[in-house]
Amino acid sequence: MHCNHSARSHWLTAFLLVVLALPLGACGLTARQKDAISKFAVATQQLSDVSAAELTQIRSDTVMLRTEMMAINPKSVDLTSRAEDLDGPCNLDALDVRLKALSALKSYGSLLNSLATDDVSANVSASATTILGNLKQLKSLNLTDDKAQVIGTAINALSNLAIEGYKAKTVRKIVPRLNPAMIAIATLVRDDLDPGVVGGFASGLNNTIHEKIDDTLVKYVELLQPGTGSTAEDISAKKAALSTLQADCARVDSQLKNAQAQIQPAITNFSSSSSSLMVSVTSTDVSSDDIDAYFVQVTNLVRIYKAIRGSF
Amino acid sequence: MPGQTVSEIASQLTTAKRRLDDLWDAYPDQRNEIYDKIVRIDSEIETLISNTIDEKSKAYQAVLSQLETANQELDAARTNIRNFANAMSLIAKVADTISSIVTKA
Repeated sequence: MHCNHSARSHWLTAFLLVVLALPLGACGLTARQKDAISKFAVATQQLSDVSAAELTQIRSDTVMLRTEMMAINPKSVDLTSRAEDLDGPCNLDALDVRLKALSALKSYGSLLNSLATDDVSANVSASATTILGNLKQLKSLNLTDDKAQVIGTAINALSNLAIEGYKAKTVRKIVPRLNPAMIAIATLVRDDLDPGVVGGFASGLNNTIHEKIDDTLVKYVELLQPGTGSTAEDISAKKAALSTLQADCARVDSQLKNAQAQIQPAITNFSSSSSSLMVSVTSTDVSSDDIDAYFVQVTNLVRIYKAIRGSF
Repeated sequence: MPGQTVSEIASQLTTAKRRLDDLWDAYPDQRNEIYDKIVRIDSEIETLISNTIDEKSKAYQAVLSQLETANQELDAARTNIRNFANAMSLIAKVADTISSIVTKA
């Protein structure tokens, strides 16, 4: 009689644990949220890769064009000035912080997705099976195969619910906190890579092409006269070099404009997926898929409860 | 030019340069002086762009810091989950040892 009472209190505790786990399971990430995280991870990778490549290319093109420009007019570049040296306004430290931020953005999307999709249920299940296999050998426990199976199912269910709840709690804490940074980086990248927005990498290259070379350097060459420190051969060579430089400018300008076809959709996709993720993570709306998922969880827990009652 | 946006300042400098372009065509005998003024405006524009890029670098740095913190938290969360699974595995090993001892006894 005493033993019976003790066993009942044990399994009542187990049942209470299952009931307590119900809200924990309901707090796990939904299929819709996992989908939003997956899309966000893809968008961060696209934006990071495309933007990092374009920013690096812009600085490289700036250095190339300004080196050619300096060969024609050494005074057109000031190697002692941060703004007017060979890389113009596109300085290495400015590029470096941008590449680091984009790389961190890519890691953020990837880590978020990994957290949401990491599956340790196989490890937990294997451990539970081992534990029960050993407990069954302890004859004093009088653990039958049926009872062991019920306990194993309960351990698995509770462990996985706890893990999924922890994942969701982490995501719901970090995503809203980082949302302003996501909006900021989308604006920063868009402005940096738009030649029409003053104060970005693209506008720096655009200025070198259209103002420093196509306007000012052309005027410089027009001013050259034989006998004022330059021979006719020098002037002829500089005019030829200017033609080559102008051809390079036209090619780089075309590449800069074509890059927009890749960059703009990547920025739009990133902003859209970031916004969807934020809405999905903070929304209290429940979809029919979510209800189905909850129903499966509840059904499983009820099944465990019934098995516990039936077994003991 | 306090209170003006970068775009407004850049627009004024570019307008001034276009006026000098007009003077370049209108007064061929004064091109050396006009050229010097054009070079000075170019310098102003490049400094403006460079300063703005540097300002934006600070904004990138702020975003970078937030992302690095978040990435550390996400990494730690993944480690915690793996540790949980490892702890289960450890319990299994302990149960195995206890079972062996009890069985032998």
